[in-house]
Amino acid sequence: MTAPDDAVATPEAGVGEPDDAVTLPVAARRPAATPEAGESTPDTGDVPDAGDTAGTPEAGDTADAADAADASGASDASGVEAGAGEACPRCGSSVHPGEFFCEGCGQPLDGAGCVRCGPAPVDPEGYCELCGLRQPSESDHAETEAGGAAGVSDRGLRHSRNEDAMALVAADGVTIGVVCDGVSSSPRPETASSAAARTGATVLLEALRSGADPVTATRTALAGAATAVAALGSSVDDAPACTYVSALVGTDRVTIGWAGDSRAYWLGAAPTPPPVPGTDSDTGPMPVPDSDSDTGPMLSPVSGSDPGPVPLRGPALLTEDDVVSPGLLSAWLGVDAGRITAHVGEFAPEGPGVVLVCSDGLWGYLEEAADLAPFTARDTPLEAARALVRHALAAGGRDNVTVLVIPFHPPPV
Amino acid sequence: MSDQPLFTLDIDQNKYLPTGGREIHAILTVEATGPAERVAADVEAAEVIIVDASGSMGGSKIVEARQAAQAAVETLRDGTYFAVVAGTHEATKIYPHRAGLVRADGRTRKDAAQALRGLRADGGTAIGKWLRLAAELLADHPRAVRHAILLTDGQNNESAEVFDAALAHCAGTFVCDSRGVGTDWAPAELRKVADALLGTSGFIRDARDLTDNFRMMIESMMGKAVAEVALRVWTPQHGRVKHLKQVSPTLSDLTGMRAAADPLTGDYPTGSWGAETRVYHLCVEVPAGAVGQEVRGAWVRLVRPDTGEILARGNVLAQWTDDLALSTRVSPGVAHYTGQAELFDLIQEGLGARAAGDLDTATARLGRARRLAEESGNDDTAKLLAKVVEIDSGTGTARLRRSVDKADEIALDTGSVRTARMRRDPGEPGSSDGRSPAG
Ligand SMILES: [Zn+2]
Ligand SMILES: [Zn+2]
Repeated sequence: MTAPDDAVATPEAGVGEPDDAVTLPVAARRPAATPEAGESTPDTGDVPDAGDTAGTPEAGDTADAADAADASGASDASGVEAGAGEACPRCGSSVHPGEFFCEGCGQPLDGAGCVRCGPAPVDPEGYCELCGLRQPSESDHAETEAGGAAGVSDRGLRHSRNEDAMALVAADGVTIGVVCDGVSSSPRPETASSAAARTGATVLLEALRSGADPVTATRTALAGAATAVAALGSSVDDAPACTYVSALVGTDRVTIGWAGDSRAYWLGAAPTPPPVPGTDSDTGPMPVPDSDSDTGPMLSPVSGSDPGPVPLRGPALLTEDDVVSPGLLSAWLGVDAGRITAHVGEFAPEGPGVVLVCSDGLWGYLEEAADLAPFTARDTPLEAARALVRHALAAGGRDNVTVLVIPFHPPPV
Repeated sequence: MSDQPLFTLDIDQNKYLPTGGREIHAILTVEATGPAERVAADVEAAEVIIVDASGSMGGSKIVEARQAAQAAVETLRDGTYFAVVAGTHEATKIYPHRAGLVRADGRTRKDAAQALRGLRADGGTAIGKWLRLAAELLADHPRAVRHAILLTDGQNNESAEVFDAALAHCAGTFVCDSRGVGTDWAPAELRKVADALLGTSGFIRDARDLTDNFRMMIESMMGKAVAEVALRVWTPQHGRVKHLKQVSPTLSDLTGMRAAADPLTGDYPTGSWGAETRVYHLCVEVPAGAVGQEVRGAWVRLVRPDTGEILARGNVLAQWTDDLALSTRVSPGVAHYTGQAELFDLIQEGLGARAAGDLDTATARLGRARRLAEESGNDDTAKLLAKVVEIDSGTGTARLRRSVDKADEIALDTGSVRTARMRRDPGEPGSSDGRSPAG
């Protein structure tokens, strides 16, 4: 690999020529449609819908996915072709028998009626035609587990819907987690986060299977997610948008990719050792490999000289927010985003621990890695994720909250 | 209908309600743009020109009225159906001589002018009868843009019951713009006509301006491209529309005009439309919800009753929050137009108190009105108020002017329905969940 950092607008650019900054004119984007992740990489047939249906009993629908992937996504739109005959009357997504909510548009399926007044019809915008209540969607509170990892996403207390999305995939000995936070000032932000999380996880696994190294796969996935989100917007004035952060947790390293202000943390289980000369202290954010920040020598594991992954010990922030000022993003996914800078960092934990991936609904209340660490030290990943979400809700729940907890186990020596 | 104006509906509101809150306010801006003028030329139009011919119109007034009616006839587009009615204690069609309306062309315009020359001033004033005759004549053209101009110089001699019954009979069948000339007519009576028949009322201070004013009214009517548009408002079960008022360009309360479309939905008529913008203030009451819950408090659609076509739609939402910073915010549009409605009330109360000899109340109301008019950018109304109430530049104390021209008082009374448009404030947070063109 060359520079750790490049501009991505299309997956092709990300895969083939990582150094090229590509900005597609709006007219060149695909028309808005349900994005199909498979289209964005060359290996479509390899892992159909890997991040899609797994994690539910029906995962076996797709042969490849069934044996390979133990995965689930919180806000998934199943591929349209995957349908078992029935389709959502609102968005056309395929619907499995017995499902209460459409996975495509998140609205209750017919027959479900209104959660407040019973069998009243719910209109296509999601409002009860009798009492007017906006129906809670499946993503209001979602929990997911894959491999040994877990995720929880919650609407919070102040928002009427959950515009965060998450995807978690465990396959081939790696775990992939993606968290996306819909930009609430954009139209239909929940469609952006949902498409980005699903596409990111799927493309990342596909890229690994086609032989890409973790950094390239991470970058390709972010590019694929960017393309999927861009396709949801018809113009810069109608541009669903979201943040993106992915974590690829393998047996010897952790690879993080992001755009925006959703974060990843390393919460090492090992006690904090004394600072090692040449690295930052353990309490502050890790030096983030990012060629855009020409502020001096950086530990750049993926730079041309390839010094290797950044070693990790005690709790540390692995990402650097893309913000102009607090709350004002400088990078996001969306047709209005222009040139998207994909940040990628590669890390080598020196002991066991967990990778925490989250939206600002969590870190807005609990920011320091050292303060997050106790939550994951004792509990199972699912209990830890729940406890962190509960903490954010108890602190006010002003925003949607999404937390993924992915354990890292170093290989036996 | 392929070619018709493009209607948009923009909704400005703060959807956040405090715990237990039930009342939602929203400002609906309806704009018709596009091919209105071109389309209007192909739209059937029917016009009745009603000229007061009561005894008080004698002298120069009847001469000016004849000329104004003639100018109106000349302004009619070829093919428009029309008639001229002389109003006294009776309603008399003076042209055409045969039944019904007649198509405008060179010959009929000339014949109408001839008939107008015979118009004499004699008799009383029965506005309800005049309107009933207009309704009867226009009933033969149900698909047309139907309109009447009404000119009067005196107070109606009919009882309130008779007058109200006539207005109710005519409501929804045509739009009427009325004008008062001289200082012996009652602005409140013409305001009633304007409210019931979805038109305007106005004051012609100088009879010599009648001709220009009539010509302008006809030109505006000739620009109407859609005969009737209704605001269709759905509210949830156990909710209701508390009020729906037009707030721009003039104030007019539509609340009482609701026609039920289904148990949860009512249609409110708005009359005919050319290329124009009108603003409405909707207030709905809904059952209180839990913090975090969101409901659609009103689903607003703009419909053409003749075709059933939905021209635009939008949601008025309510979401409960315990965050006072959110729930106490008032949307700029709601604040502005609430102020304009208050201005109208202050002027009406002030003028009423002044007429009743309660000068303290009159001074207080009109003084506050003048300050509010100035603050809200309603310069026209501020100027009218300045003729009636003066404010000491040193002490800020309001004082009624000792002698007020009767015409100035009528101008203020009539003009108080005109509101100032809100200064454009693009990108205001909290504005609009529901902008949508037809589709
Ligand atoms: Zn659906
Ligand atoms: Zn309901």
